[in-house]
Amino acid sequence: METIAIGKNIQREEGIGKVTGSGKFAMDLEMPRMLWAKIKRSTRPHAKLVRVDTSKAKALAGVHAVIVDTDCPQTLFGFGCYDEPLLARTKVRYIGEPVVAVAAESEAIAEEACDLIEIEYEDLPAVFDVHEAFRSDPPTIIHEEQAGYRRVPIGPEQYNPEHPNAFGYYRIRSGDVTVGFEQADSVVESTYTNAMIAHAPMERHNSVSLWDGDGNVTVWSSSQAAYCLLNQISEALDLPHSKIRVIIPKYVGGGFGGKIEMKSEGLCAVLSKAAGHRPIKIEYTQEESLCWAGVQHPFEIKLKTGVKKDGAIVSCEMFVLVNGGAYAQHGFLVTRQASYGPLGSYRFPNFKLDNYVVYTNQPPGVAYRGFGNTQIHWALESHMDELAHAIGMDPVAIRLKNVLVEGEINTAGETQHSVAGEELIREITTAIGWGSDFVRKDGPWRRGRGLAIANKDSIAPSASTAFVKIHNDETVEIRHSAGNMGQGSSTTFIQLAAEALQVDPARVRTAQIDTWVTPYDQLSGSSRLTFAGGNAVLMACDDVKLQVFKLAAPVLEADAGDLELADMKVFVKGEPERFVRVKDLFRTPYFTGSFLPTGGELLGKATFYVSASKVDPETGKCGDDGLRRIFSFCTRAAQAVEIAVNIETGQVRLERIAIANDVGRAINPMSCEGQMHAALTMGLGGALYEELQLDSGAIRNADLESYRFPTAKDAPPNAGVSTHIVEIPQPDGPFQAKGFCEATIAPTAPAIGNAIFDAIGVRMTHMPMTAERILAAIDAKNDAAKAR
Amino acid sequence: MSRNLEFELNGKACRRDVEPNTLLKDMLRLDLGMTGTKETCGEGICGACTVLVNGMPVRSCLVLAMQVGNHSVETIEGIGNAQNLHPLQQAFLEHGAFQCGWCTPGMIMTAKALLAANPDPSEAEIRDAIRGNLCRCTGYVKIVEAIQAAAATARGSNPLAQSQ
Amino acid sequence: MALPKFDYIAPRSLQEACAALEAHPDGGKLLAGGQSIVRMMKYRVIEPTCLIDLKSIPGLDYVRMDDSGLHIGALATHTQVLESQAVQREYPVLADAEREVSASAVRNWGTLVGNLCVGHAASDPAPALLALEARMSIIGPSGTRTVPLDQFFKGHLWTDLQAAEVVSEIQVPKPPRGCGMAYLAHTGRAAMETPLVSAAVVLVMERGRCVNARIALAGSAETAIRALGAERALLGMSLDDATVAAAASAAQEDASPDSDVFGSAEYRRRLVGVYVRDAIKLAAQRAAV
Repeated sequence: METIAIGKNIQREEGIGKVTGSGKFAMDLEMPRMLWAKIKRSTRPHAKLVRVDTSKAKALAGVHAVIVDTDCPQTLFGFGCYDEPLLARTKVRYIGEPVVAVAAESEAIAEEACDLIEIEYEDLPAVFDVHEAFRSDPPTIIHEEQAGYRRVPIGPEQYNPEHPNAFGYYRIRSGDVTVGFEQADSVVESTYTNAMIAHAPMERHNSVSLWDGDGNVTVWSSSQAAYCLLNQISEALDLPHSKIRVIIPKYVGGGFGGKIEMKSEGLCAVLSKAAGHRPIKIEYTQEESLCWAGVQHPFEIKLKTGVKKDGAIVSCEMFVLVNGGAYAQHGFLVTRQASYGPLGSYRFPNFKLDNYVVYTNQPPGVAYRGFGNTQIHWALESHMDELAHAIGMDPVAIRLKNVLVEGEINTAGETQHSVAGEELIREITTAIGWGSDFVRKDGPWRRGRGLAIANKDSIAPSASTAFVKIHNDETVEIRHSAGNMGQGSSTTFIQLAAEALQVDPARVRTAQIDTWVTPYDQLSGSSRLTFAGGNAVLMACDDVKLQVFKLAAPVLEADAGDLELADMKVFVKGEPERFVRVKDLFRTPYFTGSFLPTGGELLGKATFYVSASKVDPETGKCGDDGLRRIFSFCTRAAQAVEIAVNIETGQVRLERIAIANDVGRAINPMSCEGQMHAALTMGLGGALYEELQLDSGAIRNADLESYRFPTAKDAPPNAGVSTHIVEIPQPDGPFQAKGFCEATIAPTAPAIGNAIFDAIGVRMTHMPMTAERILAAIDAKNDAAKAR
Repeated sequence: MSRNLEFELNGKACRRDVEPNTLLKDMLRLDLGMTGTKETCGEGICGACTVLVNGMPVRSCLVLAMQVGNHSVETIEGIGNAQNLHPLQQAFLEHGAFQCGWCTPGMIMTAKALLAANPDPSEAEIRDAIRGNLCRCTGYVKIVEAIQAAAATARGSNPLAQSQ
Repeated sequence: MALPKFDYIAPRSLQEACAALEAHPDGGKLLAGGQSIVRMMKYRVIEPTCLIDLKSIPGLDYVRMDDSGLHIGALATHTQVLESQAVQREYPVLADAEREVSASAVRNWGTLVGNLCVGHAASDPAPALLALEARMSIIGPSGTRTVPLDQFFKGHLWTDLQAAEVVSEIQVPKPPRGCGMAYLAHTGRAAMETPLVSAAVVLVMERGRCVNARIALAGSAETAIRALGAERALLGMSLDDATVAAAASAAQEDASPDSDVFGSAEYRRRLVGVYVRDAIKLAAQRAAV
């Protein structure tokens, strides 16, 4: 069926602003009387604050405010576990924790003021290792008041006095794993870990905050979640929502999950008030942006899986420890979400999972593209190859044996819709030429091939609201608070609205996110915008059409129910010559603009809400409630790679990659491909190079030279990259589309790990698989061989 | 103590009073309000701050404004605008060669200098030229395609350009 | 990252630059391309109170050959060195090394002399110039002196430059007739990294035997160094696999690498063996027999 906009490679709405540099990002904003903020951060990982002397800083010329915790509302904010003050209260819990904030006339003066602040610490024992922290008698308890923290209940009891540093827990139970292991022909146990990594958005975290004389707080932020931010500012500052306004420019330089929570917007609002109600700008330094704006959680994943000779998984037991860092932030949600990761890929007749997230004196972990799934699939997909090798089965065959199929009810009790398990595997194995010959030896290089699949569940419950306005010039304006941080969500909405209203997409635009204008959206995350936001936009289009028809009906002397809209002409079904233009529904008295005779505005409004089934906190499963839905939808991915390993240096070259994603329906195929190419930056980076190197809570490589992600020369040539969009309709998606951009990076590391095993018979269990680690693993294998 | 600085900016004579410790990037962004030039790492690694001085890419975050006296400086604002896009800008739009857009101005300026010196670059030469422009979003695939397309347009051999 | 305030002098000659340094003995620092020192100033690694900007002194960015060899002026950028026909033709090891440096934007403004004056062991051009037996020509209050590059590098971020001295040019003698050259560097990613370890080799073969070998390493000690033990291992020998392996082992003994966020000392030592071996073989292939 021919479409106006769906399936077309429409250019990005914000494209001109980006290619000409005319688009204003938050970092480009400048306001009259603006002051610059800097934060004085803790240099100790766990310590009492004995003395904080700000007198010299306050006395410095050009400094307008210096605040500590006692100058701030005595609240605790969080993301479902409310444990964090705006500034450190009686002690600090990680190197980097904000202790003092300064507002001054320039960045340089603010920095100088920070240098003049004297802080005396009394060190407390610190704990960095997740096992040490998890003990019943840990070296230290990081949050002594944890039992009394306000929480949003999301499953089993989160606080466990047996593990006083654990702040989140999730469990899944299905069948009986012990019985299952007895039935297995082969049982494999392994442990996988991953390093702490950073989002490293190219636009560092930044914002402007203003607490004006009327007590209203306005914030401009490089954020991906306007209403999350608004809610957290409300809680942190103890202000009602109606006193807060969050504005997110149409240009946001990347987020990847690192710009969901409040960073310093609330703190800078307090500074603004203290500095005489002046706008306060803060730009995180590269170090702050990498280390102290939220990192990706290191996981340790233990798996024990039993399989039959024919490859069928019988039983799987997983134990996960998540290093949460010093404050909860997204930690306990990541724990929950990640726990379901395996269940979206495969069938597990017997399954047992326990997942704890634990406080340590390290920088806090937050949402990171994949929300724990990248770590889970690193372990699971490497482990699947181990299972395959244990029974002498091809890695493709074992996956095909166990992968979920359309309509199947998974181990958690969820019905699986829009399942592209087999299709994705077929796409990538065909593209890479799985099973065909290739040259394995090339001097010191050894080639190998590997594959991996992944999935990502999108959260539920989920709510997105949208307004769609038709202006008197027949242009369409979408008012939506979903953050476009580069993934192109605004253009997706434009295409959906254009299709629904049958207009040229060039006549549709989106409004800047402004919580006084654009209504509630849960957040730009969890791959949910196309699905939830898109559905809200379509529903709002339906609503505005009804308003149009109601106005046009008397003009056309027809029933509203007999009308259609296309090209901004309202016409009677089957009689296109009986029409009225939308602009002619407005009246124009004399010289004061135009108005609608009734209703005020053509403004469609809608809420799209996805509910979720009740989940049994003891089992993590949902019951037979007719819905069988724990998440909004599931998106799947698969990648096959061909790599070369240098057996003398441990270096890995990615030579070919086939990337497949199931998108429900490709609204903008070019944008879909672009998202899939993230495998070549974030996927490849996390697989081979990226790690924040910690030393007793301090990060040693907090700059872009030593925190390494791929350059243009690290990616293969374009001829070595193939992308495969698989469309299996998501029944309740907008035009059967769904989101997918988190699953685009999860398969890369395990596919490479599996290819390394194929090349040299070495199994890497920690990511990143740096050259030095690979060489050490090669040495260990050679030493073991010699010893035999 | 501020000094007089005279240079050419996007083809026009420009005169500013600058402090010696003003970086070229800050003179452009803060003093002249030309925020098209971005900054990420601030230490010459990422390339977001790339502008052209005498036609050559430089790191405006590491060059003192004082040092461009009597030189020509070209920024993203000077190569095209919404009504009259440079072929590179047009190609980036058509090929979806950006996502968040923060690395884009620096990337385009580097590509402009490349094509001026090498109108028919191979893919390897393109990747080598942009190796100092880090992108966190795109994986570089469409950036390479866009530069290839712009090169072809400039050489008159791009069917896309001919059909316009 | 803002820069702190400083005094700024724009001398019109190197002699004036020396005088300015003499006038600011404590906080005066030379600025050329700034690709290293502006970075260091941003991080407060150095805090000069007066920058003496050489960049606009005319006539100092030359790269030229004469009978004695190659002369690289104080302000020649990496790009000018790399694009010099003379360098590409006569000193390909230097061109290969310069090609590895950072990105074009850094090479276009940063100077080769500036890179050497930082005195960091992880410099691409440093080992190439050591293997070419380059000398630094220095002017100062007491006149001009010339220092062989291996004596110019004294320690980590420490060179032989004395107070009020300025490097005026790099002098590279004509390379031995019929020599073969090679430069190989190891980096984690394919670009935008200084060498974790690199090897530069210049050698001459006569009747199947090595009669002259210069081997230099980056990233393998406090400074870029000549691997003298490796050089001795090649002299007079035919370059069969055993000899080359012996030289590579000797280079590993010559090296005294450190551990840092980019790699451990053990890994660096391991890489020295690989890269010296491969650079010797490549240079030997290119040498006239």
